Amino acid sequence: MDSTLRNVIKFVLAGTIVLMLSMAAFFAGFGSAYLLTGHGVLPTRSAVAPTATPSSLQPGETETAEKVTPTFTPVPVTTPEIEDEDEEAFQVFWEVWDLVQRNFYGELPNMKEVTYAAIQGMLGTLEDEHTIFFEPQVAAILAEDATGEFEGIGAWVSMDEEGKLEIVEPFEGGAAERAGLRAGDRVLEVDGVSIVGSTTYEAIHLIRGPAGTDITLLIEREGTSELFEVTITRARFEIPLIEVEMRDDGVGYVKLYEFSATASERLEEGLEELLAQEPQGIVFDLRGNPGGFLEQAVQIADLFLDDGLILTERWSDGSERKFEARPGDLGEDVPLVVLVNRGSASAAEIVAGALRDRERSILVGETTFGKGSVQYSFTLSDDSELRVTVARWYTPDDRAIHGQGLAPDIEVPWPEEGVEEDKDPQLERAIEYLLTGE
Amino acid sequence: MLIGSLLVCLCLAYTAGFGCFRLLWAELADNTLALEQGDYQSLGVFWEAWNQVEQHFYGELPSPRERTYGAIYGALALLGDPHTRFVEPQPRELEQDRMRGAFGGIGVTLWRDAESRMVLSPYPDSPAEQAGVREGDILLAVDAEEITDETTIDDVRARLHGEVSTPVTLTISRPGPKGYTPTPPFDLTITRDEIQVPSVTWRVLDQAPEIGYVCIESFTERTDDELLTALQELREAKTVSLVLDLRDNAGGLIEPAVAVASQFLRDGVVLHELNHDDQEQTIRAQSGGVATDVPLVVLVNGGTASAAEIVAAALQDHDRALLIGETTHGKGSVQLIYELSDGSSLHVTSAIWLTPSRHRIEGQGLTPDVYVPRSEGPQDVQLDRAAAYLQP
Repeated sequence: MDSTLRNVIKFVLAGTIVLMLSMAAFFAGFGSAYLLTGHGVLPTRSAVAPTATPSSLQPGETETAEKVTPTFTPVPVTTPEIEDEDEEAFQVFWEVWDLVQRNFYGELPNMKEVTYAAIQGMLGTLEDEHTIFFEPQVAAILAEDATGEFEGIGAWVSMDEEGKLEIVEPFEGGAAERAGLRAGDRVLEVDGVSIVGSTTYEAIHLIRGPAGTDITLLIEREGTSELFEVTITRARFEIPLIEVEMRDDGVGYVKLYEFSATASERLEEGLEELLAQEPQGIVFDLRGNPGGFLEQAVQIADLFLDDGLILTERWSDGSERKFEARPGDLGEDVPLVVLVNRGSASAAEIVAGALRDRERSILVGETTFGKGSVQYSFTLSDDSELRVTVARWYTPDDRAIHGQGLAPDIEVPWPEEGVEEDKDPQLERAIEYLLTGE
Repeated sequence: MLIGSLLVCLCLAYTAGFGCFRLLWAELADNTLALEQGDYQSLGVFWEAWNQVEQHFYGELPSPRERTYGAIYGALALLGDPHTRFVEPQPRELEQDRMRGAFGGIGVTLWRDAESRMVLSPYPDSPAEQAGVREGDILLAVDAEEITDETTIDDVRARLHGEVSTPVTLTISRPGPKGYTPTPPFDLTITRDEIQVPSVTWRVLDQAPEIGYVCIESFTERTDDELLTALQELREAKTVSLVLDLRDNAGGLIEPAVAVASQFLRDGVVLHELNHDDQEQTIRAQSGGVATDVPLVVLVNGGTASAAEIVAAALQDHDRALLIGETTHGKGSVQLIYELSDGSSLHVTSAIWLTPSRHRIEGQGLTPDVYVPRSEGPQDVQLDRAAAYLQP
C-alpha cells in the first residue's frame, strides 16, 4: 500500500482516538461537576433557590421568647424547625413573589415590608384578633409603655379622621401642659418633619426621645388661624397607673388603670396608705382597665386573698396550669367591692372573677368585656413582637368568660343621657353597699 | 511529547466540561429566580412567626396551604394594585373556562332567589333541558353534596362543570303552582356536554335595516371567529354601516382584541405597551381586515374596560369610528397570568397600555366623541343616537 495513504489513515485514526478521548474527558468533567454540585461539595446557587429554607434560622439564635407582656411570663422556646410539609405548601409564595419581582409594573416594596405583610396575612387566616404582630418600632413603644414609664412630652394622643395627631389630654403638670399645649390641638410637624398621614405609632416614635432634649412641634389649634410652633423639653413620665383617695365617708377608693409591670407594687403602696387610715371598706375600681400582665393580675388578686385558687389556664393540648394565692398579704381582711364595666378586660377580668368566685368581693357596675384568652409574647430576631393566643383561662368556679364577660352582682348601668360632673352612680352604689351591707 | 500533548488536551477537555456545567448551572439558577439571598434572610422573621403560631396557638390552626395563601394575599396587598392578584385553585378553573369561551357543563344559569334558594334556569337545547330540568327548579344537591346557605354560586358552578360526557346528578325540588306544596326532591342524572358561551351577538337594527349591530361582551379565544361570522351575515343582510357595542365589556384576552381592531383598520398602530423595564412594544393592525371601509360607530360606557378600551381607543385615534356613550372605565394595564405549581394562579400587572396617540388609559379612560348618558327607561338612547348618526 502507498505509504502516504497509510500515513493518512494512521493520522486519521490517531485524530479520532484523541477526539474521542477528549470528548470522554469533557463529559467526565461535566459529570463530576454535576456530581460535586449535587452533593453540595461545591458551592451552588441553590441557597437562593425558592425553597423557603431561611438560612438565617440557625439553632440557638432564632428567637428569644422574651420578657413581658400582656398577659404573660414567657416559656422557654425550642428551636423551631420548618417541616417539609410547611415548606412544600409555602413554595407557592416564592413562585408568586419571584413572578412579581420579574414582572410587576410599578414600585416594589422592600423585602422587610413584604415579610411583615406576609406575617399579617398569615395571621389573618387564624381569625383570632388577639394573635397579633407588631413591627419593631411599635414593639419598642409598647415595651416602653409596659414598664409604666417613658420619655417624651407627656400627653395622651390619638389619630383623628384626617390623619392628624390630636392631643387628647396633656398630663397634669407635664412638659406638654407647661409648654401650653391643650386638649384638641393637632400636631402637624415634629422637628420640621410632617407627621400628617402617618400612623399613631410612627408619630409617637418621633415625639419620644431622651429626657432633657428639645423638640419643636408645629401646632394647629381651632380658633387660631395661624399655625404656631411650640418647643418642649422632653422629660421622664410615669404613665398614670393608680389613683388613691380616702373619702370623707370613711371608704377608701383605689383605681387601677392597667396591669403594667409595676402595678402590684404600686397598688400595695396605695393600699398601705389607705389601710393606715382604717377605712370602713375599699372600692377597687377596675372600670376601663384593659388588662396587662398575667403575673400582675395574679399578684393583685393574691393581695386580697389568703389562699386558694385564682385561675386555671387551659392549653390547646389539654394541659392546665393553676395559679394559687399565698397567705400573708395586706388586703385580706378589709371589706371590698370591685367596680367593673364593659372596658374591664383580660387581666382585670381575672382579678374580678377570682375575687367574686372566692366570695371575697361582689362586682358592681356592668358586664365585663369577655376576653378570656392568654397571649404569649415573643420577641422575634429583628425586635418585632408576636403575641400568640396560647390558652384560655377559667375563674375559680371554672367559668369560661371568653366572649361573655362577667355579669355584675349588682348591675348599675351608666345612664345613657350622661351624668353631671363629679357624679358617679356606680361608685355611689358600691359605697352604699359597703356602708349598709346591701 | 505526543503523549504529553495528548494529556494536556485531555485535561483541557475535562476542565472545559467541568466549566461548561458550572456555567450552565449558574444560568439555570439565574433563570429560575430573581430572588436574592437577603430576601430569605428577612423572611426568616416570617418563619419565626409561623413556628411560634404552629407550636403555641390555641384554637384550630388553618392548614399550611391556607396560611401560605394568607401570606400571599398580605404581600400582594402591599403593592397597592387591585389587578395584581392571586386566584386560588377552584375559581381558577372557572376563569379558564371563561377565557376559553367554552366548557364541559350542563347548560344552566344559577341564582339565589329571595328565600335564598338556588334556582336553575336551563339554556335552550342544553343537556340540562333535555334531561328534564325546568325553569325555576330548586337545586338541593349536586352529586349528593348538599347546597347550604354558605354555598356560593361559584362553588356550584365548579361542581357542575367537568369533562365532557361525564355524568352529574342533581337533586331537585320543583315548586308547584302558587298555594301548592313543591314536589318531593328527585334526582336527575345529566351527561355533561360542551357548552359554548358566545361572546358576540348581532342583529340588523329594527329601526334602520341598513345598519348592522354587533355586541361583543368579552374577548375570548373565539371572539375573532364569531365576529367574522357576524360581519359576513350582516353583509349578506345588505347592511351598509355598523354599530359596535362595547358597553359593559370588561375586557378579556388581548390577542382577540387586536384581531377585532384589525378587522376595522387598514393598518397602523393598535396600541403601545410599556413594560416594567420601560421597554416599549408597538402592536400594529394585522392585514386583511374585512370591514375597513364600513361606516362605524362604537358604543362605550363606564363598564367598557381593558381590552375593550384598547379596541375603542384604536378606532378613535385612527379616526375610524366615533365613540358614543360615556367615559370608559380606565383600566389600561396588562396582567400576565401565571399558573402556579398547586393549580392556583397569579395575575401580575406587568405593563401599561398607551393608545396609538400615546394616551394613557389607566386611571383615565376614554372620553366619548359624543356624550350620551344611559337612560333610565327601556329605551336605549345611546344606541338610538348611534343609529341616527349613521343614517344618511
